[in-house]
Amino acid sequence: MTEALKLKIYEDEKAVVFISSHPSSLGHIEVFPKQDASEIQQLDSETFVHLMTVANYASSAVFETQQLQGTNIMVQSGKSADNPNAKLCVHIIPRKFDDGLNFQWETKKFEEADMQSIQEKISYHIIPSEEKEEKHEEHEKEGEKGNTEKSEERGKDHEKHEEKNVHDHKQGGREIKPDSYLLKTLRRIP
Amino acid sequence: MDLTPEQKKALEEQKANCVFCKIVKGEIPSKKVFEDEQVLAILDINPATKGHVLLLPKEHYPILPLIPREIFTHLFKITHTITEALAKAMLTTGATLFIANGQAAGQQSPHFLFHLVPREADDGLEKFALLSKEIPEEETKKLQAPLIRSMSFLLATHFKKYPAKWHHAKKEEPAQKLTVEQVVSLVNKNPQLKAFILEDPEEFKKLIPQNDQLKALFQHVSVDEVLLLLGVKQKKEKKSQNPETETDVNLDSIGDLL
Repeated sequence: MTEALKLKIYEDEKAVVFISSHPSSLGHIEVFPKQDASEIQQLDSETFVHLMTVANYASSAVFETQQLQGTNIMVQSGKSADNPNAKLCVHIIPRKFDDGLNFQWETKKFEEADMQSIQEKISYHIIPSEEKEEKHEEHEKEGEKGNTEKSEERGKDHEKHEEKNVHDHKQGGREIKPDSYLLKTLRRIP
Repeated sequence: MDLTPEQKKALEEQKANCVFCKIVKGEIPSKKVFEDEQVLAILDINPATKGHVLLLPKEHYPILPLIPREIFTHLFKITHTITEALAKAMLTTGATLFIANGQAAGQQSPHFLFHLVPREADDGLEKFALLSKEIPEEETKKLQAPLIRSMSFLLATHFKKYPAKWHHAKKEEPAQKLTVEQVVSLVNKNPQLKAFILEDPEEFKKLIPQNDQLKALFQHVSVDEVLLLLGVKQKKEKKSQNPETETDVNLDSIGDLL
């Protein structure tokens, strides 16, 4: 193959679908958001739902068109070894038994305390969208009133929570080195 | 899902033995990170990495295409929220959302669920790498036309059922207003179609409104005029023998004519 094939099979205002030019199996489909995005959270919720809707239909379409026994839908969000250009893409991979493909990862075991700490961290950061809107409105109103006191209080609460998190780590008996945490935070800054 | 009584019974048995249904009910413990009436998110006890989350609808569905629209939408709205939370909590640069429909795809649980795995460039999770395979271009190209048709049909139906403010359906292009002579010439180029028309013109006439491509072809012309020019004699006798043999006409090729 000299030139990469550009076989488009669907397009609308939010999504575009191609047959992959680097297929892992015959009929490998790629769904891209029209919007230039690297990670799922850069899209708004509705656009992401639509992207997955299109991917779901594409997986059914490809299943019907070929004699398949299954499909994988894999979303590459952000930077990873298999997505070095950090381009958001939804892959649909046709599957058959004995096709030689195997995405099954090696499982790891972590200590109970680690798992608890992870559970707490993730649940803390999950803010349902309605609450997010309320908090955003609160913030805006405070900004207008010039009320700095509440923000300071909230800042203190946040600090307390961070301390609590660190405390939990130590309680778990495994010390998370503070500088690796800091390094990770720095890396997240775009 | 419309199931036969036997299928319903089989599904009930599957649910009774389903580990994830038990987790939903609280009969088996789990580390929940999010829960509401329709969906549940828990930490995977066999994680690929720290922060590996499983997302599942509380109701037992076998694969993604069988999930009702409302639950599907809600499930992915929550996924969007959790992905954001995961990035902040685990301080990672990316995530992989992994779905397996069917055992051949590596689906290990009969209860539909998917994986959200925090990712980094050097995390060593090579199993998610999508390696290219040598596939002849011809085979791939053959898939394009049927997939275009399927996608167009599926999404058109979808938007009719679930209209979106931001979506405007493309109007059918009446760009090609064909004359009677042009239609006749197109039919003459397709011997199979012509033979079918000549054999059973009445059957063909009935077929036109049922097939989008035929409809488009005859949109601006009189069918009878075309038939006349093709040399069809208006038979008032009974139709001859088996209409079924005529259905081997490849209507897909009409698309190529237009």
